[in-house]
Amino acid sequence: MQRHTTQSADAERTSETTTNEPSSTLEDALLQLERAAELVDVDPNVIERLRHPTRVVQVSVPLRRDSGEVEVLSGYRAQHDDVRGPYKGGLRYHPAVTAEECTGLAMWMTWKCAVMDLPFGGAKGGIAVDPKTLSAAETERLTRRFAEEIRDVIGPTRDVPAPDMGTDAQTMAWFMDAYSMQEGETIPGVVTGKPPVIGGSEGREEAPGRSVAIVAREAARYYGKSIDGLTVAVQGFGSVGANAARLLDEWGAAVVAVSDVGGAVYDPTGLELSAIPDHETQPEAVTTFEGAPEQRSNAELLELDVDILIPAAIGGVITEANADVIAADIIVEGANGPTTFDADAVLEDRGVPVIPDILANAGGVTVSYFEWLQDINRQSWTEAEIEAKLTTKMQSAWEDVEAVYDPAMMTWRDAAYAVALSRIARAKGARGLWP
Amino acid sequence: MSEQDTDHSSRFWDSGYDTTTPTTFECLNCGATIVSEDSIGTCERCGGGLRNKSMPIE
Repeated sequence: MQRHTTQSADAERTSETTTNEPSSTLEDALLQLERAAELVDVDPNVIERLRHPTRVVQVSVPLRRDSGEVEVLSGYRAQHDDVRGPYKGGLRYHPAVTAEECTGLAMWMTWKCAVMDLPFGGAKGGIAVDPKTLSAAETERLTRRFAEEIRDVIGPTRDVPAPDMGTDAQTMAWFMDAYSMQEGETIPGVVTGKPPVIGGSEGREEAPGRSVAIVAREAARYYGKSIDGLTVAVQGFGSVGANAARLLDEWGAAVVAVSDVGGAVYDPTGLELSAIPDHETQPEAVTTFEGAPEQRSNAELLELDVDILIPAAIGGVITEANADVIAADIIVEGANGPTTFDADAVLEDRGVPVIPDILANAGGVTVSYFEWLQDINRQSWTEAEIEAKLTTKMQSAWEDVEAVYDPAMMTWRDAAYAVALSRIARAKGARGLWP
Repeated sequence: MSEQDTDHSSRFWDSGYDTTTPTTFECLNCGATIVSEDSIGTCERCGGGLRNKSMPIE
């Protein structure tokens, strides 16, 4: 496989180091498509179709501020591909939202849903706005108007949005209400991530962490490591990292290090996770925890010699600068995009397996799928049912990727994308090209 | 983690979060919105789990 060499003009101006780092979200998504296409026997015409989104809708969203002033904001919905089912993806309120970024993210959602074998395609959208400048009333007005502006292209069988950066369950409730009022009936399946009282699902909180833990356990098994005493370091003790750490601990692993914003605690014999105080009574509980013999920085946590490293905080923490000193045997991506493109190449050369985010943290979109299923079938599942179905789905996805993975030919990321692309290509082949 | 620990050059999609301003969390149980400068994990109203609103969930 050839790595494509790209370099933005900005990068050339600001760095003397040659980098293969893609300059945009869309470019990264396209590069990943090309890599996957080299591994799968797919009709080139299908690849050509997948290089382009079905549509990218841009709308103007007028917002009356609490002051009475009217501001016109730009909203977007990029829909990449729906050959396997309705488009699926988040709606974000963030100043950096653009049509191009939404398109790249929509493409990434296509692969993520396909690797999990969910009957969805990929979408992403949002409004270019800083949500911290919006009052609750302004957020509600903005959301309701945005729902109306894109109503023609969404719906439970067309495109199903969800919370993302800067949006939450309340945003989805307003969105669902606006859509339902205009359609003349209550339609909970138009969005996921709603409050449970109007059709939201149980089990949302633990889902991404649970999927990370399941995938970490399966990866350990693949490499002949027993879960008993498996050493694990987790960067980020938020909902993903904390839930993953606690589950692995429960299953017998030794979680030797965890971190939050302020730094990490480390005990080579395994932390007593249940002794780390609840955040409610003690904010920044990790760094103030006195039950660990050693403290580390977040950067040092990444360099610990452990069986499994789980970066579960934010993107871009494993870079070309520190990929050489990662001592973990296996990396399981809990966050979205913790490994940069260049770091991926270094780790590949070093033979350090990286289990990709589109598989490891897919518990979030999988529970969104469960919510959609409950809504369109007018059902309500218990948390135990969600947990059992998620475990089955994650193990099945892992087995599908493992069946394709060939260490001499590809990385785990390549294998996951190859599984996704194969499914999409087969669906395209079966449906053909209309007219 | 601190800004110094990362270069935030994610492969794509997420901008990371701004550690210089308070973080907004949503409670996945009762729906409360909580703004905090600390990395809190539990709703102070109902004890439910929190989601950092600056992070995607899918």
